[in-house]
Amino acid sequence: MAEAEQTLRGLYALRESPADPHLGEDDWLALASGEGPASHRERAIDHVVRCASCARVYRGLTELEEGAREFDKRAPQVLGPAPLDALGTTRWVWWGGLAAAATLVWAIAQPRPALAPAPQPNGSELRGPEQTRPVLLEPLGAVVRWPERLHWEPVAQVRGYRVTILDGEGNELWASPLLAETAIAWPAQVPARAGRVYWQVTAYPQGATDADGVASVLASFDYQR
Amino acid sequence: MSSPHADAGPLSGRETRFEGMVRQYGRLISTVVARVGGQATSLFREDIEQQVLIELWRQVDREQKIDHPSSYLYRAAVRETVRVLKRELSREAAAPSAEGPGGGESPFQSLAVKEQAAAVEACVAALPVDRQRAVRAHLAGVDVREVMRMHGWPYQKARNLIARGMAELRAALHDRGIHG
Repeated sequence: MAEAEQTLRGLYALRESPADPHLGEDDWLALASGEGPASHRERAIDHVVRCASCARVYRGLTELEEGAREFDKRAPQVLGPAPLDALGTTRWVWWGGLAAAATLVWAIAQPRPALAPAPQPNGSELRGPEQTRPVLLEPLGAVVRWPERLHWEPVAQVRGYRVTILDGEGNELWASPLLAETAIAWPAQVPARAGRVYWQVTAYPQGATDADGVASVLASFDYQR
Repeated sequence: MSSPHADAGPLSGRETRFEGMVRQYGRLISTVVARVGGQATSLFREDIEQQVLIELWRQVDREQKIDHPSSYLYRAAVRETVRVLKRELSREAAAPSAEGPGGGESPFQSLAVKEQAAAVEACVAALPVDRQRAVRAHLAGVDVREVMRMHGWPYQKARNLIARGMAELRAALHDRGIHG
């Protein structure tokens, strides 16, 4: 991150708080539950990005949502990062844009609690038509222990899966051979590192070529030593 | 403290799961508050967890019948997270800083920084609405994927608005003699 951008963000953080009132408990509840009219949500978001203290509460609720999904699959998914497959591009074109996306993602000036996308398919309005793609189970979100394995839900009628692990810049760190199982021990070739790590599973349907693999969303986890 | 739906008999599987989920939310909320609330808050994490658990059970006690425990608990957890975070952030704001708000700056430096911050705000406020939204989110430390979710924008739109908005902001600040 350029020093100039850090300065700019520092100055932005120092400006006076907005005149409009902070969000109330019901506003937060509506925002975190995806309820209420779009105009209310828009107004709330507009306040959040102008108000340092509400931005922190928003961050807290984002982490709550992500953390809740680890033990409650019905927890909503309305805050936090959009799934990366919502980029509106095809799988192959998407890889080309990953570096740019990662650059922006990584271009956050201030160290802040790591976000946990946990982007499992959930019928979000940002998604395209639902496909039979692997649903990633773990590791997702903030983790305090370096994962011992990668685990995903099975997809019917596939001949195997391939797992790819990437760093925060979108560089491939490791790719598995074709796997029959829906879990694999964490590869020793990728040692523990603090920060965000991305991973993705591609399922290869029976009778199809490798070009017809169906990729999961690109999930990530944040490891803090 | 026990579930209001547990009565005196042994807990059913459903009730045990419910209680387990309350405990999980208690731990999660205290973790979130400790992370977002900063270093001072993290020192009181166990106290916060205890308070959160008590308050979650209080909220549960007030309900006669809970039809959708998962959804109910999530909403209770959101309310409690907001309450505790607001309380901790107010406490942090009220606590005296070792170096003061300017971090040891002279009054002149402090004034200059304030003026620059006001200029940044004025330049951001002058951006077209969507660029302004994108730039505010970006400057607040929100990443592009969160911006997509916040505003329902596709990736390219979010990315372009941030990039163009930041370029426009830098140009406006440059005109004011601020090079950022």
